[in-house]
Amino acid sequence: MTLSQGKLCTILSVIALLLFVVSVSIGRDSLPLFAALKDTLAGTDSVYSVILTQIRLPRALIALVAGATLGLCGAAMQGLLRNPLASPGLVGSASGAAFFAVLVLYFGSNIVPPYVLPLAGMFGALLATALVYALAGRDASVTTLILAGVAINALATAGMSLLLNLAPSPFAVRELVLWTLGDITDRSMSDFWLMLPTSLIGWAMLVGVGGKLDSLTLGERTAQSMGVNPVHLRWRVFIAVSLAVGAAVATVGMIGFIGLVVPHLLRPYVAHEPGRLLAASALGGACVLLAADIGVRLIPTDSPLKVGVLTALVGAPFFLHLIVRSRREYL
Amino acid sequence: MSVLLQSIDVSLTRSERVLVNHVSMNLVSGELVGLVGPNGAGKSTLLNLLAGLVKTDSGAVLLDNKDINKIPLQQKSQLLAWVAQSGPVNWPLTVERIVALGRRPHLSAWQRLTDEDNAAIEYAIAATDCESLRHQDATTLSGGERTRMLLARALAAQPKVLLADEPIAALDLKHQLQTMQLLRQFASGDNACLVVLHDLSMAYRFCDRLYLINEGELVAQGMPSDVLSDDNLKAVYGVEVIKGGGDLPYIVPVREL
Repeated sequence: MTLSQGKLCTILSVIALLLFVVSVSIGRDSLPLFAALKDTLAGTDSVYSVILTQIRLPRALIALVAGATLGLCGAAMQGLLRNPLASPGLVGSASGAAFFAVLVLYFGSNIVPPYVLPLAGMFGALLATALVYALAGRDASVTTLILAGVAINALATAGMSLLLNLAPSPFAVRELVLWTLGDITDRSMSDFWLMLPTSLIGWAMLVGVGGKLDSLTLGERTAQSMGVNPVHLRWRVFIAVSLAVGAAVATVGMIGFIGLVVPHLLRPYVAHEPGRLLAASALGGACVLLAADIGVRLIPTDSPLKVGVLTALVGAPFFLHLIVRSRREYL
Repeated sequence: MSVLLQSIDVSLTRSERVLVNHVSMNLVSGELVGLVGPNGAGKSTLLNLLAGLVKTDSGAVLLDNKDINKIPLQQKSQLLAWVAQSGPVNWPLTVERIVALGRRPHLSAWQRLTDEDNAAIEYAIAATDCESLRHQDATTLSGGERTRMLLARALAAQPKVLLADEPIAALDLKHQLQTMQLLRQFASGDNACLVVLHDLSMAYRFCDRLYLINEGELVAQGMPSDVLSDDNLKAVYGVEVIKGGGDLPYIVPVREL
């Protein structure tokens, strides 16, 4: 079942590219791609080029980057924790980002410029990461880090509940709740440019950790004897995941299960090697989020289906299946 | 003959318990040295200190005459390999891939395995009798098979110093013998090996020198025949033994004192 790294990544890239094109082409109004592309390149401000550059393209690009982040970070966290049930949400930055974004929504999404929301989300992600650092201490064990992340998650969730509780009207509650569900509609290119740098920094920090995660397969002590500094590795992965996931959540809200399920699905194809899984899982994550975002446009519902709801609906049963299977394995 | 690894007066205290108490020892090239002592004597802790995995409270560990904590990690991992007592294997990689991990200290993040790396891996697999296991899922191995695989991983790194924590504890008779012969063979020329052993007969038979520790302190050191004297065994293990064998020495416990 194992494929060579080049082959697997090529296949996944091709799928991602196809889904990207499909994502750009479908929507409420049909879009003749070639005409739209011609208009855009020629600089004509036709309806087609506006739909392409201001509605479809940002949506597809954000799905691509956020999906890749979730897949990559899921694989990195599972490699670091050596646990197939770990997910990027464990580090606390996702809920930190969500809390600050909801805070902005609560205190007037209509009085501040649109870029404030994702910026606040990213600030929340960084603040959550800094708090985890302060709580856990420099030489923190993986368990301490996770517990600190869980504590921050609880705090952010409590804050969000408070805002929902105090919301002035049912409409405000609805807006807050819907935002947290995870959604890529109505995003602009500026949202994309805002999320990109932080995402790229996170990705770049994970470049080259593959070999170290491979060594970690034999446990922290043995990895240390093989030249890996476990404390450095822990913080590197933790901060990288915080940055990239924070940027993704600040832009698209909470989209669960991609970071959990995608690495798991791809693991057999990379011979279970945590290092090789990183790139494959990033591409796989991009595919899944692009596909899910196409799915919500194709499934007819009265009020628009949120992409985070779809990934959770598909992901949760899969997660249950994993737990049942791992329970059987450990018997 | 040069001193590859030495500890100078090292101590370690954790939770107000003295685990290692002012121990000085050394490992010279060409030597197979055994570290023996009862359960909880501090053998594994001492090995961790010597491998530079845990920092000492006082005293120093020198690898190739340099402070082990000041040698860059990657360089250190090329010189010294450490085999855990029963190390975990967290992902179902094949045995071959686990052994190949041993080459990581010699590779940069993106480098692929060279012919030289593959030769080292092949040698390690053959030497530890892992040939028949090479395509098996490493998480499904028995304890003894896993120990052999982890030893192969360490050998693939081609270190100068090998520290092995009870490598034969889980092995059958044939593989015990094979492993001791392998360590004996490894510890020649420029290389040296320090091995924690519970089997005193094996320690007596294969090791050049022994260190006997008890409650974190060095009790005796030197030739096996001197270290494993009746008095020492009585004092440290609290048992009476029968010894014999001449060229093939054996030590059998008779009764508690």
